Amino acid sequence: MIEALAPHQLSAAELRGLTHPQTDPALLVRLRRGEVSKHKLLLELVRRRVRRERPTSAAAHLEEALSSLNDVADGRVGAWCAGALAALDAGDPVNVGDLLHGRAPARLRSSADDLALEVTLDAGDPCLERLGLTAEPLDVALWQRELDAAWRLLVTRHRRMAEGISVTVDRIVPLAARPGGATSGWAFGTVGIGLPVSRAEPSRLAESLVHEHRHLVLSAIMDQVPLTRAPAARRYPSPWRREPRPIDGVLQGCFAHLAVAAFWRGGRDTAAFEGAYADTAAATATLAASGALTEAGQVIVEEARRLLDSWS
Amino acid sequence: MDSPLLDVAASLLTDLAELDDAALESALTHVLTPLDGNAMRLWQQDPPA
Repeated sequence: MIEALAPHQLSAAELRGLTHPQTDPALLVRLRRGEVSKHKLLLELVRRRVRRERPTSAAAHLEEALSSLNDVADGRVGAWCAGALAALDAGDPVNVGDLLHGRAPARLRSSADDLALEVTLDAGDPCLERLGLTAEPLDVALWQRELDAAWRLLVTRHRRMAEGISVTVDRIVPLAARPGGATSGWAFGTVGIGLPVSRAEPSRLAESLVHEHRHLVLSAIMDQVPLTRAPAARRYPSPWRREPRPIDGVLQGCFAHLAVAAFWRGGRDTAAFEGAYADTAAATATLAASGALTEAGQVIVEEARRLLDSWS
Repeated sequence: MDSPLLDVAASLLTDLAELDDAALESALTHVLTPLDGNAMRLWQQDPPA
């Protein structure tokens, strides 16, 4: 019964666990469940608004599409809802056709030491085009080879991180930018990645997977609990950009680069580790002094700081 | 920490019609915030390394 619904919950201990780059995959599965709830609630919101604000025929068209929707967990559903709500706000048509797939994107599967990553390689989804210009033509065989090498490296050196990625990432949008990376808080599970220019360098693609995965994790946390409370116009220095950024941007950078530092830690590329470490430490200092974090945001930044201290 | 996001992961889409408008919008409080202002959660493109 709907009246008996409980809210999702994240304890301080769970927030600390999610901050750790070697997050327990069970926590990530719980985050995914939250994203499924989000998609269903967003679809219901779109459905109500279309029924109220658009002709009966549009509502009927949407109902038909919803009855055919077979994977509500798919991140493209969240992205479609975001576009539909923006269209409703702007008085533009809601493109119901985009909600249903109707296409057969390539599938990639990489496996190492009994741990597999299975993703779609999807360059033509209109719901995800804002991730960036996609690579054309799409070389599926090349992607499979590159992913195989990167996955082998991840599983061998950072198995726990690989386990987290395997339960979170289910789609790669191949970007034209090289290297390039993009995610959306509306599309859990989807990462935009441009293959590094220098091939035969699996660590760069592996790093991109780690980096973009962490953006997805933080965005999913933010769907459940607010982490910041700064006015939208306020800007803060960011180690990764020339221009000052919104507080959420600094927090996203901190969260992702903490994992990048963990990825390079103990490896041969000491400069990569030291760079990621120094930038992440600077970001934690900015965040801690900002006065713009909620209690949950403070938990995350304090845990990031604690981890960095333990690595110095 | 309680989230306003209701756990409807196991619910059928059709069952959500039972939610009243206020409950639905409340459940999406943190999800819809970026639509009003901070776009950071919408589409984030990383700068070149």
